[in-house]
Formats: sequence, structure tokens, C-alpha cells
Amino acid sequence: MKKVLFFIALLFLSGRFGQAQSLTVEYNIGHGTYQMSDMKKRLKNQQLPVTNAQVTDLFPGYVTQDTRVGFEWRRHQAGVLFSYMNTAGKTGITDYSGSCNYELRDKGYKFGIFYRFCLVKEKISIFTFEPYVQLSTGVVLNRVQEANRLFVESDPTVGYQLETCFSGKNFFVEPAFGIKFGLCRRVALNVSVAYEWDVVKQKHQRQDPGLPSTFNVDWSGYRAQAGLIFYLNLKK
Amino acid sequence: MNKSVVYLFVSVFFLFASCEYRLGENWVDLGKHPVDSILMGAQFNGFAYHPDEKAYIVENSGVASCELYLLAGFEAERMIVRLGEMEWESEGARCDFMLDVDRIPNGSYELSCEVFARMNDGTVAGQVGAEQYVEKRSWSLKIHARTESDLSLRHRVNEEGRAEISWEVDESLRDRFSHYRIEFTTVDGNTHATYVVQRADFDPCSYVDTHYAGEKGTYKVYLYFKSDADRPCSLGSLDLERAEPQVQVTYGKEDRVCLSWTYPYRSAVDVVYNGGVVAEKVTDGTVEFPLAGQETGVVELRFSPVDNWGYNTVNYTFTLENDPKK
Repeated sequence: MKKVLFFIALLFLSGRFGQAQSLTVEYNIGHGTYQMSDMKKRLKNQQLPVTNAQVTDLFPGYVTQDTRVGFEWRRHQAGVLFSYMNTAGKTGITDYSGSCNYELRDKGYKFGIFYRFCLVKEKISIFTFEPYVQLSTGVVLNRVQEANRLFVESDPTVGYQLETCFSGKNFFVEPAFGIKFGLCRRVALNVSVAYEWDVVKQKHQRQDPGLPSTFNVDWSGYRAQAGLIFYLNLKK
Repeated sequence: MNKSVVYLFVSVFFLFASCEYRLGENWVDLGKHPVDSILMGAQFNGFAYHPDEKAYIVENSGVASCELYLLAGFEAERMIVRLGEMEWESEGARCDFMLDVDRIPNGSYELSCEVFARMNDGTVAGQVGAEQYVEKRSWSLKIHARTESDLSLRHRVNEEGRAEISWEVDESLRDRFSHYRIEFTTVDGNTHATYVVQRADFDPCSYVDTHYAGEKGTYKVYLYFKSDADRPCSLGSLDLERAEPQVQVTYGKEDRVCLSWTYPYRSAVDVVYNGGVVAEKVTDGTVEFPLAGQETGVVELRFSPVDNWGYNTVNYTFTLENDPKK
């Protein structure tokens, strides 16, 4: 399935390459919210050897970073994307005698393709105003680090630090609406809002494959981003 | 490629590396108070502290216990009592242990108690059983086990009216002899009272007790050796019943009465009639006092050892009628 999608995208892009007016490179930074229901359950159900542990972080929304490289022709724009998301959850307690904490740190690396269609192009003075709709899809490579730590200051030998790494993949679809403000011929300001829907969520596995896993990582949520688009003209 | 694009990618790389979500901390301020000592005191049961020896003395086998008193807010998790190479461990602030003097040679030992406590205020270390409040105290303990015997002591009332007990001792023990220990124990209800006399002279093999006034009790005599490792041995014991006076009542003129008595031991007597003291420290065995108006009255004779008046008393009570001739 993945190969088929990739092949179709490649055909589409190569077919349009000849007509491309400019190469675009863009970087967006923004904020995303995440579903993470399995992870939240896992964090809350974690048994610790202390009774007064409290959840301090429950996979809150956090900064997202996004880079895209594509081609633009007429009102179309398409290309590849790479994004990075991360969040974490933690429950535990720390006092003068030591600490006991359980942490889950999630990182998502998104690789995919996008297609952007410009709804209208308005010129205001020297600036341009281009609202667009966009559809992105691809894979999220997840990496979850689980850490279970106990530290006793007066007797460090009592403590322990257990770290486990899980990995898995999600497939996502992300519709978006955005506006490009052309600042000059080569640079545009980009603002967009989107919703990422992780359509397929793979159960995560430890790096030791013999052990089963019971959770998945759901990055579904709203995205708000802003950034810059650089245009490199391909036709003179 | 345009330089600006390269710079963009480098910047992105650093941004990726630095934008990791920072986790919060559930810091609970439990306010640690520095504590120099958590052990307020220790109470041993089963043997007693002898201030003159500055040590606990154990003479007999039996169950003993150690109870610790900790600073408020602390809870004893476990404690270890050690005596020489022996060790007893228990949970909590009390430890029961058995002292078998037949297995512990006589001598001086270090008695120590180590307590592992926690504040139980919910610290992480406390909850995982790793709170480290440890304190150790030690005391000196001497095992003074003695060898008992079935021998009997001899008893007589000497010329001065004093109780005199005597015993036999093997002459071969003279060189190792340290002292005699003479113990007299009385039982008054549930209360045992013992007084102890030590005598450093090997001869004579007798003891005149100037404190004895005829009460019921038991004498025991032990011979102690110069070496602490040698067990003191019993030279015998003697059970004495309470002495009873022979009282004679003579009614006189003008409602007066004369009491006279004989008693085995030289004594000073307080005479109490109907609750009031009518004569004190009578040593010649005769007293005269007026009768009260009632038909009968209660007389109490309180016998005390002469020269040790008030040290111990034997009370003899009887009912006195008014002149039966009337």
C-alpha cells in the first residue's frame, strides 16, 4: 500500500515537474494538541511504590515543527514534508528524601506528501494574499521512551532506573486551511490551521520484540502553524 | 543551493534538538528537621540496673525485653538487641529475648540496641522502606549467674536477742573467696522486699542480722569468687515464719490495764490502742495505759529492731476487753 502511494505521488510530481514555476522550501512552527488516550490510561494505571504520586504532565499540546519542500505551478503546490512533534507524561513525587517517577516521552517524526490548492490570489499593493486548502498524508514514526525511576538520597542502592523504548508507526491524513502572504517575489509568510487524524495506529512494541505491547500513540489533534516560504524560480 | 536555505536547515536542526517538552515536578515540601537523636530512652525488663556497678546485672535465666521510646513523630520499623555475639531482632519498638545464663558465662558484656526508625510522614524513602534513621545505644551488662543448692542455713536467736544465721563452707574455697552475699527477702502481699548485705571476711561463717524483727521471710547466702568467671554458689537458704509474741493482760485500778509480752527477738515496740499510740519504743516488754469507755478495744503491737527503729515492723493485733470482772 505504502509503495503504491509513493509510486502515485512520484508519477504525479514528475509529470508536473516540467510545468513547475518554482521550487518552494518552507519552515513552519506551531502548536499541536494530541489525543493520546492509550498513553494517558497507561500513565494513570502505572503502579508506583509510593501512595502520594501525582500526575504532573498528561501529554499536553506542545510545539510542532514542520518543513516542506515542493513545487508550485499555477494554483497548485505539492511536495514532501517532514514534521516533528513531541510531548510527555509524568506521574510521581519528589521530596527531600528522594524521588519516585514514571515518565513516558513521545516523539513523532512525520514523513509524507502534501498537495495545496490556492483558492484565490489577490494583490494588495506589493503584497499578495493567497488563501489555500491543503491535504497532507504520510506516516508518523513514533518513538516512546518509558522511564521508571526511584532514587533515595540516603541510600542510592535502594533506587533503580528502568528505561524501555517502544516504537511503532501511524498513518495520518491532515486537511488544512491556510493563507500565504507574499512579502516579495521570493518570500511569503504562511499561516495555517489543520486537523491531523491518525487513521491507522499501530500497537507499539518494545525493542525487545518478544514482549507484547498494549498501547498505541495517537497524535490526532488540531494544528496551528506559522512560517516562511522561500521560492526559488525555476523558469526565467 | 542558496545559502539562506542551508542556514534554514541548520536552524531547524537546532530547533528540533532544543524543543523537547520539559516535564514538571511534583515536589512535596515535607520540611526536613535535622535530628541529632531519635531515641529518648530505653527500658529493660527482666533485669535491673545497679547504679553502684554502673551496669545491668543478670542473675537468673528468664525472658527479658527492651522497649524503646522514640522522639515524637518517629516510628520504629525494627530493632536489634545484641549481647556479646548474640542478637535478637524484632519489628517495632519492643524486643523480647531469652537470657539463658547457663549458656552465657559470667562476666561483663556490652548490651546494645540498634533502632531503625522512620517518620512515617510519607516521604519517598519512608514509603519504600529506606528511611535511614538509625541509632544505636549501648550499656554495660554483667552476667552474675549463681549456682543454687538445697543446703539449709542454721538459725538461732543469740544472747542479745538478735537473729543469727550460720552456714558451712568448704575451706578449700578460701583462696578464691571474694565475699559473702546475704539476702533476706520478705513478702508483704504481692510485694517482695529484699535487702542485701555483703561481707568480705571468710570467717566466721555466721551473720547476725540487726535489722530482723521477726517477720516472715527467706535468708539466702551466696559465696562470691574473686574471678567474675566463677559462678557464685549458694551456701544455703532458710525460711523463717513470723514470730508471735506471748501477751499477758492485767487489769488494774481506775480502768487501767497493763500489757506485758515476751518476744524471741530484741525489739522496740510501739503500742497502739484504738488507733492512738499509747507508748513508743518500748523495750522492756511492759506497758500500762488507761482503757477507753467501750466494751472492747483493738491493740496493735508494732515490733521494730532495736537501734534500727522504723526499718521494718512486725505487727501483732488482738482485741482487748474492758475489765471482764465488771
